[in-house]
Amino acid sequence: MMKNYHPNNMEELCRDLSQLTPESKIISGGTDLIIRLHSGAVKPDALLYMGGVKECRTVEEKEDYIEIGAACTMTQLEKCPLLRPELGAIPDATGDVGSPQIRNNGTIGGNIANASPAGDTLPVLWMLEAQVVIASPAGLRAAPIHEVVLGPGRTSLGHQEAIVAFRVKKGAGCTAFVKLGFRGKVTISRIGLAVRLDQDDQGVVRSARIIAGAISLTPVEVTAAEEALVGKALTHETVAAAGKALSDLIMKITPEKFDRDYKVWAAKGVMEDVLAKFH
Amino acid sequence: MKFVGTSRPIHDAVGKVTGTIQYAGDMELRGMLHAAVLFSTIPHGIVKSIDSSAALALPGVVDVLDCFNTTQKEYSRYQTQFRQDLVKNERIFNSHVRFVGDRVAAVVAETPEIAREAVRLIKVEYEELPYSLNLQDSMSGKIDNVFPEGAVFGEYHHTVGEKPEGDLVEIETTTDIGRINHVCMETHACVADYNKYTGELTIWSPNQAVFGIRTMVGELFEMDYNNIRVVKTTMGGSFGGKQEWVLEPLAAAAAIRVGRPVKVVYNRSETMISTYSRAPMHFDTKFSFTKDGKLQGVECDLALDAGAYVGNSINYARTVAHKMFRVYKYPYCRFSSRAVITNTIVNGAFRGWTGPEAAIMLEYNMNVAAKRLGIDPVELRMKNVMRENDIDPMSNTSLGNYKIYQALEQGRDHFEWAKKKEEVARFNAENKRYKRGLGVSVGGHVNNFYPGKTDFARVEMRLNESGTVRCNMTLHDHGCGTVMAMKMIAAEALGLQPEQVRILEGDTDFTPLDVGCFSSRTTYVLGRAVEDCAAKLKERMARHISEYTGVPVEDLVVENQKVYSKKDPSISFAWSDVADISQQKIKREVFVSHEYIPTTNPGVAGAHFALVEVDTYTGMTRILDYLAVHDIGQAINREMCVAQTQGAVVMGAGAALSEHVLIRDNGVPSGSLKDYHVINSFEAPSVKVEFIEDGGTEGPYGSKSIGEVGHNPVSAAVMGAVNDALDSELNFIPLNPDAITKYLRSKEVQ
Amino acid sequence: MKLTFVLNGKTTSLEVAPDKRLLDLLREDLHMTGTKEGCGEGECGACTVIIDGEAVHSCLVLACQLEGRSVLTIEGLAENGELDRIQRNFVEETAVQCGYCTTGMIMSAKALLMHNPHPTVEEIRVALSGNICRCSGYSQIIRAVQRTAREMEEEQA
Repeated sequence: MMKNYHPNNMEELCRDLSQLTPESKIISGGTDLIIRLHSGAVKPDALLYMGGVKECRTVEEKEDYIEIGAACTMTQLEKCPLLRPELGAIPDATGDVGSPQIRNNGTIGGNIANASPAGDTLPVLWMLEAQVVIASPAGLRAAPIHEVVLGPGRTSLGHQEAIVAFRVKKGAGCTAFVKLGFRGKVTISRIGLAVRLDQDDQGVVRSARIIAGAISLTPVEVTAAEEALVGKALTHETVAAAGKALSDLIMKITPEKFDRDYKVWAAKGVMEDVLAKFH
Repeated sequence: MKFVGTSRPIHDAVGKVTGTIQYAGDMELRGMLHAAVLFSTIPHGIVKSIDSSAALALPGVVDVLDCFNTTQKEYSRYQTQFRQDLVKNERIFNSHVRFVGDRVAAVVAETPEIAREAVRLIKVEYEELPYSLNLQDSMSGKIDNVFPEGAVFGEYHHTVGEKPEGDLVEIETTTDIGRINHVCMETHACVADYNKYTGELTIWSPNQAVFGIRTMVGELFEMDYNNIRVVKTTMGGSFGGKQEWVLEPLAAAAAIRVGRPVKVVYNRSETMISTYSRAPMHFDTKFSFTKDGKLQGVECDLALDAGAYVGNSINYARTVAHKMFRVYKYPYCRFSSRAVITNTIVNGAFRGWTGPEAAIMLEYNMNVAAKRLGIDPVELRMKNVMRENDIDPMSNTSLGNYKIYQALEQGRDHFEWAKKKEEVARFNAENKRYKRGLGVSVGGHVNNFYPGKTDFARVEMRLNESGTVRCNMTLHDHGCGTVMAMKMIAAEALGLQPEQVRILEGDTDFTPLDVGCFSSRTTYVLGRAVEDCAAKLKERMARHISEYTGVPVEDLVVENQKVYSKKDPSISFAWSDVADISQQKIKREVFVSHEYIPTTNPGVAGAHFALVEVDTYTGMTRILDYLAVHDIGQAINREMCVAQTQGAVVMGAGAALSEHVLIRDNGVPSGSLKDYHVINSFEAPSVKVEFIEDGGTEGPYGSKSIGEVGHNPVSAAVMGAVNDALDSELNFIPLNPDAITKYLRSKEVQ
Repeated sequence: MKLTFVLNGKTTSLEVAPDKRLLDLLREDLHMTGTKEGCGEGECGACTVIIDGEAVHSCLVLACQLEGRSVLTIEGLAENGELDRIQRNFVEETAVQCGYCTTGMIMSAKALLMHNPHPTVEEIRVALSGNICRCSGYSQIIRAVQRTAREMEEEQA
């Protein structure tokens, strides 16, 4: 008989986590997990539902960071006024995950814990150097995102741990995200670009951080594209150079069977589209 | 006309918007069980053993049927008529499995969840054999052991006319069409029930031919047809996907085994993989033109990928030949085709029944010719299309009141072809990343089976005492409004409201024998039968009143729900009176039966125009503008005809730009909509539809078909527009982002 | 598990496995077959229902996620035999053909109008982007939604 847990707050969550076995599953929106459950690919002995933990469903502004509850839905984040304009990359990404129905149900915590290379919010949290707040029977701990998501479907979480929040530093400047999929809307990501640019009044780029998702096992920094932009304004030439840098990186690191040749070509398109959101 | 040409909701719209209407998958019968299927996990091999012990031990499991304990009699999923000459090489469960998705066994259980869990517990041992996933491997002999006859079926050759001589421009090309799926929103479902004591089998399914199922199942289980009842359920879309029999024999076998109702529902993946898809085709063609653009000859060789079983593929391949003269007029055609078995998804009927495929091939070559000859593509087509009363040499029938020339003219004008050409040229000169292009295409079709195959229809009408009419006929509404169209025709002819005519759908226990909903015959043949039957019913009413009153029949008028004397209007009877008098005095019901046999099959076609924009960086294509002009004769239910045509355009655009059933190198197909991209509401183009309604046909009120022909030209138009945008000659579909960028890469390398 | 939730305005309790999909709970346990399964993976929208005011795929919601929440299905729209305005407009605008996408489409449209009573065409297209219709080109459906919005606005005025 499958067990189920329905904690209503952090205290109950930590208590219920202590009951989980390695065969148990944590469910938030469930938009990835339920497909695997229904096909019989996974057979958990227990389900722990995160959606009732009220601390995990809010976005709060603290002194120097924003704390995003892991059970916030994509729609919630798309519409959250606290996240624009600085953290605009988050609503950009969450506002384009799957269909409206998926966005109303799927959560940012689930997207990260699922750790798909094509996960839309991964490159964004990478770019923002997010801290992941993790609960367990022992209490809370925080770890940088790149130490939590390790590879396709792999996280460093123990079987009695749950992601409860993400902390993103304020003062990010200007951020944006664009996804290239198979079609305009309701699509898996083929290249996801999360960008932070710090520009002066003339538009000259003082610093840049460009993270690409869906081109490797985990998001990667496109350093050469950053270098192509720093010290210059965004012009056709500099944008094209950044696009070429992304193409070259994909050629180097993306396995051919991950649609490498397509992505090498299309890189210039998605780079142009994301940089068009800056001035 | 009061009703014909107006717009009405589909007859069961209220049931559909409330969710109260019942589809086969919604049915619940007392004692009903559920079946789930075990499919082959290898593309080619022999089942050595099946161990169902763990499945049978699961609580709630009632029985397991498999290739060793169920009839091994062979059938053709494509059979719809008695004694039909077909290759029968499929079994309910196959011990020689021929594709990933072939049926090996089925569990019957108390719930669908238990049945599916039990399937996972069945252990199958296979002996694997070499497999082929493409035409080349099959034709080179790699899987000659797939059937006793080998892997190639139905070699066919047909020539019309003589090879032309003279100073001709020859265009030699190949065209490749990828595999697409119907993606009806309703996946396949079937309920069957068997009474062990009376020997009666009942089958409910969404299907296009209740009598076809009865015939095929009757032969398969060697049952008298009196003991088989087949009922057509509300259909959640078909597009040709529910006209071959996949679930029906399986559900019947299960019901016969357990003597209780059994429901089988295929989920999306099972529907995409284990029912059927539209066959990939490879064309080698040679077109010859005079220098000023008159088409003189077409030589066409077709290799059709039939998938794992023959199904309809022999007939399907040959049908391309029948499309060769539905649009263009030229003196010589040499056509050859064959159906080739591969260890992939079985292929079968799709909307247009090779009309779209023929158009893709024909229109591709016309576009290449237009470029090489320096002639505008619309002008080239106008030079070569058939005209009124021209003869189609394949069927030796007249194309009748055929208006494709006018459709091209009208479309060129309303789409502002010349103006758009200039705008596109300017746009492309000024833009690097985005390129626009224009496409035009024509696609033709038919309106029934005449003269190639038998075609006839029977309609019965009877007058109710309440003054309304009950009409008995065999319809198979796909959700495209057939029933309402018939009601509108009947109402028009009888002088009633459509709501006052009761018409139900196919049920072999009650409705007349019918060849089924194919070949776009419903409006033209059944609709005409309705129109004529209505006239007969009115005549019968007049005769009864004439007998009763002594007034000669010629002096009686039947209109406005009355029968009255022209000379003395005070002699007037409401229809309720007519029914009462008939019953009490004439001692007959007011009942007529009418049979109609079509002897015409006019040309019916559409001219489609598309403006696209290709993002040369991402390879994605947007359709900016689209116009479909159709020579429909007379629209019966106007808005439904428009909606159908728009849907056909979105479907054909999907086939041209993104739809493709993925089959991996190990023979495992993807049955997921995550991999198969249909066009959604965000990307659907706005489609303008215009009808040329000049009547002049034997169809009811001068109408012709629309449901399939609306789809025939689409992929060709979009393909042409993309090629125009890229100044390319890409000869395959889908032209998806990967294909377009691959082409652009190769161009850059040069 | 014992599940208690609000279904179409009525508090409903039943004993159900925690991993039962809401879609199956509706169709099998409660015999409410208005909600359809088209793909089982959140790609087609035929199974759309409204939970706590938001449109979701019921094939991607489990019983264990429903405690105390409010679910609205197609069966909850018509009241006393009278169609909801959206349903009536779908009928009258010829937005219904085979009908299999219809109930899910109506629920997505209803959710949109609950949040945004004056949607633009673009907003309607995005709101319905998770509902596939294979029969139409979506134009009658979009018209039905626009007409409903207009009628709601006129009623307000």
